[in-house]
Amino acid sequence: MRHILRTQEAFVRFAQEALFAERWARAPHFLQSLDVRIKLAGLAAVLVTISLIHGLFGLGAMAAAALGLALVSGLGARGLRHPLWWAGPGFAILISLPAIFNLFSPGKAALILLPHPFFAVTYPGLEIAGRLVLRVTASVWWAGAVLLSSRWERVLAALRSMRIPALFVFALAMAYRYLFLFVRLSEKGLYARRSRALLPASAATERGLIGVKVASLFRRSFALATKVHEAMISRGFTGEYRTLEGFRLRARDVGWGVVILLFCAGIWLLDRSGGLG
Amino acid sequence: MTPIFELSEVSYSYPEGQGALEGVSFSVSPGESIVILGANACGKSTLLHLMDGLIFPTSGSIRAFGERLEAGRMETPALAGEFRRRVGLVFQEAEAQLFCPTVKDEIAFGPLQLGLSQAEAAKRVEEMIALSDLSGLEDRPAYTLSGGEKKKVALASVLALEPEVLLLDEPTGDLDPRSQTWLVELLAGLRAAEKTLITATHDLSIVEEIADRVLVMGEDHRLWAEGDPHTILSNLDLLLEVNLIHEHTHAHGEIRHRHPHGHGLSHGHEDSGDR
Repeated sequence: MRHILRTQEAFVRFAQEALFAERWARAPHFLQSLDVRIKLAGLAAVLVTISLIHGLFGLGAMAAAALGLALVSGLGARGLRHPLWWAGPGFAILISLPAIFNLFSPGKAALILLPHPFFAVTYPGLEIAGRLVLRVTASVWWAGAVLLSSRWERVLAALRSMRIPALFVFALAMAYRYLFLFVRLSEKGLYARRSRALLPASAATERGLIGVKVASLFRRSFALATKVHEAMISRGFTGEYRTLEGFRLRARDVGWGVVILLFCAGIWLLDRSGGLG
Repeated sequence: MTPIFELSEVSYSYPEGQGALEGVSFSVSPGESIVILGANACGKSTLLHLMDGLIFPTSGSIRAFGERLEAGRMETPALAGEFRRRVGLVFQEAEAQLFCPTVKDEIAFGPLQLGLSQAEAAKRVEEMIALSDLSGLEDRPAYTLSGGEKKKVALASVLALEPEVLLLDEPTGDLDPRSQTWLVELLAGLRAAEKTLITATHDLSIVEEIADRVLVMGEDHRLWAEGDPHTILSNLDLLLEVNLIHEHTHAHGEIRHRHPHGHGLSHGHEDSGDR
């Protein structure tokens, strides 16, 4: 039973860390100082490049570049403990695990686990799994570096200034608000449950309670999200995001855009020519 | 003078069929300060949401600034913007109203949405921070604030719009005594500046200080009475009937007293004792 409660606590902690990360976006470091529009455009270029690269070294280089950027932008140590950095790669490892075995990826054995019946880890399997994990890791880390170094309101305003439809940006904003409220309510629900738990419950009872809690949370967070929407409408919100600071493209922003484009083009060309192994 | 609001036989039922208001009629003149008194769940919040054009009556009509307040009109950006510029609503749940990353962003949200320049919005933020005694909290996320601070930010974020009409839903909820005094003084200042104030509350202690006129709503979601604060607050039978006060029994030695009791309602013991 205790592990069920711990799982709930871990979920709430995870979600809180994932959502309430604004402090990094306000730190005075490299990525934080760049225009959000350029960062988003650069991210789009990087993601397209990652999807085009096949070589493991190319993908690894992209992931390493994201890590380097995160470190020079003050996201090291505590920042790298953010769920964004490990949840995506962890999930990719989990789902790609079956692919490393000869059952799914026949080929030369890298490690024989059972001779009869033959069961082994294969080189083609490792390559397929490695490509998937590195592709996910590189994509998630780049997205993490850009999003953790940008204030959410600025991201929304930047998306609108880049002519992304208001409806899409609005849906994104409301989804974020919904998750935010969901996490707050989860936390309160968890404390309320703990404060009234007089005796340890059976695992079956705990599972039942989680089911009830999920349904109740959904209803409550939906009701609160409706109120949030009304509060936004009440203060004149029409789907357009405006922020206190305007966008101003400086030489360093343009420079960053050029560097990213050259980097992406270079990695892609090297990958195509086989220069990255 | 054209009333700011005219409500005529307004009823509202939620989509699930639950009734929230029944045949409510009254009007509000410019510069008036009205308190809507009622127990929990009598329909006060729904009434304010209707007056803010967030929801629309199931039957009856509401006119605001001489024009009918209806869904079609509020879907027209120019007309809706004009209305939002003139009417501000402070929600009962501050948590629902605070959706921006920081206090500063929260206060700037409304002015920026209504088309003010960034410089003008920043100026209003500064003014509201000073007015609401929120210095030092500008860059804090709203979810890290105390209940009272959240309420202040919610109020500041609406006052930043400089509305002609301020709708306040249970404004003293979550406020400690010092913040409540601050709020009452602020509302008195807004009254002196001839802003129109409509406050929904069940807190009787602030009524005489902020109201020109009081509307009393019953638990049947109907308007029960209307009058000046002194007349309404003196009518203990009415207040008992609508669940704004309750009868309270306590003892002084061998003497047992039974008398009405409620928020901000004082009582004497000289002639009310019974053994």
